[in-house]
Amino acid sequence: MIPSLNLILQSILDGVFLGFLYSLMALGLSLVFGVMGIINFAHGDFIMLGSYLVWILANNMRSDPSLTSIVTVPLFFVIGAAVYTAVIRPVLGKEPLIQIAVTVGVGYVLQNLALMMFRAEPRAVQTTYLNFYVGLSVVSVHVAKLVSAFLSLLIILGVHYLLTKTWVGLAIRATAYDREIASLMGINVGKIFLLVFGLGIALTGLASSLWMTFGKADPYLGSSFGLLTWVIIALGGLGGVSGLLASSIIVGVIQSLTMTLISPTVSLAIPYIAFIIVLWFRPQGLFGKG
Amino acid sequence: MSDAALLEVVNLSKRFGGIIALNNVSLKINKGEILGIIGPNGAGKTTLVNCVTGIYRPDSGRVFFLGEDITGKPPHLVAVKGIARTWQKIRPFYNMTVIEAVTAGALLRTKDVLKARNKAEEVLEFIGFPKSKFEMLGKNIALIEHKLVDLARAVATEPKLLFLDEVVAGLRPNEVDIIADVIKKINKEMRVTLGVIEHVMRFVMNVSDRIVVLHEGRLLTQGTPAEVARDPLVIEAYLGTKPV
Amino acid sequence: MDSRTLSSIGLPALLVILVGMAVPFLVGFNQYYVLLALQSVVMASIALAWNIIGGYAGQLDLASFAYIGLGGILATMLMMNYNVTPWLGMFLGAGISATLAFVIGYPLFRFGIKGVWYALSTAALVVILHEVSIMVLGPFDYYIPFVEGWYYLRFRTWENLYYFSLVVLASIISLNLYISRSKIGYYLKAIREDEVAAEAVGIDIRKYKLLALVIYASILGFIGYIYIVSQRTFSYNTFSGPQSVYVAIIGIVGGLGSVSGVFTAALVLKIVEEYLRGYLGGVLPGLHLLLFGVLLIAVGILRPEGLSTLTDTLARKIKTRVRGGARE
Repeated sequence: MIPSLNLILQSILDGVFLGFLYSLMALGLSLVFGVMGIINFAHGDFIMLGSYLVWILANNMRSDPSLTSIVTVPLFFVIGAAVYTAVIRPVLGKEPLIQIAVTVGVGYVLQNLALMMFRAEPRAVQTTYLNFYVGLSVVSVHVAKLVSAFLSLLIILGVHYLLTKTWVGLAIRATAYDREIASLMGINVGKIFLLVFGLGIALTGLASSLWMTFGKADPYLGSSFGLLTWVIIALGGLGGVSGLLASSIIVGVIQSLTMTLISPTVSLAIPYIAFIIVLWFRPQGLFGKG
Repeated sequence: MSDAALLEVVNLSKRFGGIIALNNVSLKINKGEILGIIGPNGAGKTTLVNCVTGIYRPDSGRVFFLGEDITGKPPHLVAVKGIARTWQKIRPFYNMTVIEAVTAGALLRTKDVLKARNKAEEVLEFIGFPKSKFEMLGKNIALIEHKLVDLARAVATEPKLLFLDEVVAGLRPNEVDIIADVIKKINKEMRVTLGVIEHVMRFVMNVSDRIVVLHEGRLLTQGTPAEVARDPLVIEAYLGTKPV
Repeated sequence: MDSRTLSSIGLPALLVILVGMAVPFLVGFNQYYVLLALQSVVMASIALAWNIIGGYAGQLDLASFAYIGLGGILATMLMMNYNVTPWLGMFLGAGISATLAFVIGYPLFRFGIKGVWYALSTAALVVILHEVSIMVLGPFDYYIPFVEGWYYLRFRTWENLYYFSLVVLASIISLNLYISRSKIGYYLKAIREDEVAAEAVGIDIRKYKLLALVIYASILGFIGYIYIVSQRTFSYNTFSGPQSVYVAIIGIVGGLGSVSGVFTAALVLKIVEEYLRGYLGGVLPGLHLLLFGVLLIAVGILRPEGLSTLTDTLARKIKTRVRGGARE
């Protein structure tokens, strides 16, 4: 049975919207990696736990999940700052294996926290305002996905503006470039690290809120989003916003098409396979940092 | 290509993005000599060594060692061929003891761990590293001790050619003299040819038989220490550094 | 190899067997405790295999249960469906896991993938196998039909399998100790400490990392059958990412490269897990695992060498006691 053109176009459109949200998820990771050289193994698990949190909040507030971002964003910033201070900062000078192990530990803690609180069951939010399709002539636009994509793009551009046009952003970029020189210029590198890590986690909080407007919370989100965001960064590089957006959209579309044309189960495995392939064929440059 | 040349570098070039680190550099290192390689920061000294030892692949040019073309060969093969090096930014084996670290070097030439360990002890004693500290972990020793262990580790691989990359950087004057003596010993008694990359003039002028000067990726001039010290081109390139 | 080295490698293993064999007697052959002892011994074996790639070679491998599952399920299904004895099956399991390790490791190491990227790749590997096995095996738990005898390595009570596992554990301990003192061990540790410096003294880092990986995977593929039998079932969930992380936790908490440390950590954590699961399992599933995560973080921050300094000192004391006693 050959799928109709409509179906394919629909799939691509959904994939594009998804891609924007993915780029929001990847942005936090990219910032932390670019500025601190730390790879947060637990990044996806923050999104996972965040999604469950949004589920609780949205059901209690009886509102659309996107509104929970009022709570999740500042909360996750604080959580990020706390994790940085307690876990990341103490291991900054230590050998890489310990640094990775510590973030693996954080991820493990988050996963089991979710297991303890939610028994590994998927959860979807009851009250979503925009979880429906609007039919246009050729395709239907899923409004929640559209809004998430739009908000993601807005935030990404906002962060880009922050980085390029403000003093803080300049300080962040200087630190990313060379932290020794930055500190010699009077930049408080410790504070920058704290800020960036907090921001990175805050973005995951926002992403969780947006995801829950049409998605479900489940314990596997951690590893699949985690790997997805890494694929995106490996593909798009750490360069700039355009690279990030481009690779996110490609990934989103591929995943969406696989789900429609092959099967949902295979589409689940796509992030993992893509990750391994990307690692093999991506030029040395990215990993030369190690 | 002359018979005495142990290493010959021909028209070596290497660029990183927009920066040309090496620009058509050609030079020879003769068997048995101590060649000093000097030049201001960014002259391409370390890049040269990295290209010879296989860490970088040169963009163009060739590297010949004992007549064999070793251009672009990976570092471990270069070590097997007989070229060793020490590190500008120290690279200790933090969680291994001193004797273990040097044994790892000695294992290049023998499979037997016991033999390698004996060799490692010999080398460490030859270099003058105190026996009482053989069992100390890499993370617990001082900078001068790191340099000695680095030397020992490299020498244990029985190289014919040894590059020392700013080996006395960060050392006190008396420690510099210690290293200078050790190096001369290695050259004379162990018959190891040396390429000494250095900034500290007093040291490199002292130990070298011959000197090449690099500047902005190019070979500026070469000659005896005395000749090079007087050369106006060299003085100009180095404007601002301390006199010899 | 001289006799002193031989005894250094062999004695600890022998000691483990002797002390271990006493355990079933000490617990009065209570099957709950014998099974617990069996599972602890299996866990220790897995962690000590991990020690080769993680502790010696310094690669944070998170795919242990990819290899355990693959080898173990192969051996088990061969027994269930074709009556193939696990004595052959376990070696076949070792072979298939070694092959997988080679197929994955060769390109990974050739492209110089290390650190976090390596960890992520191995995490991805386990999940891929997990997803693939759902498609192949279906979302079912497979119970192994009961057959008895040494031919099948299965018995009415757990002691015999436990004794066999003790021998396996002892062999793995000896292997670790042997590697530690051999050229491979020196080279792996150098690679762990500083790859660039290691290459400069002639070490072919790709070759040795791959060697460590294949040895590690082979051991896991071999043990897989024992693991599955001790769990009594297998399924797609045997390919467990979290369990693989747990193995790494043991390896790090025990102390990278410390045989005594990893051995101790495996036993201690298994017992703690069992205790916590018994008391709190119904109320708060996953609490013990959460605590282990916290433990990993704490060890990484406060005491990266893990238990090793404690256990190594203890091991040395035991060694001098035994040597002294043997001489009398």
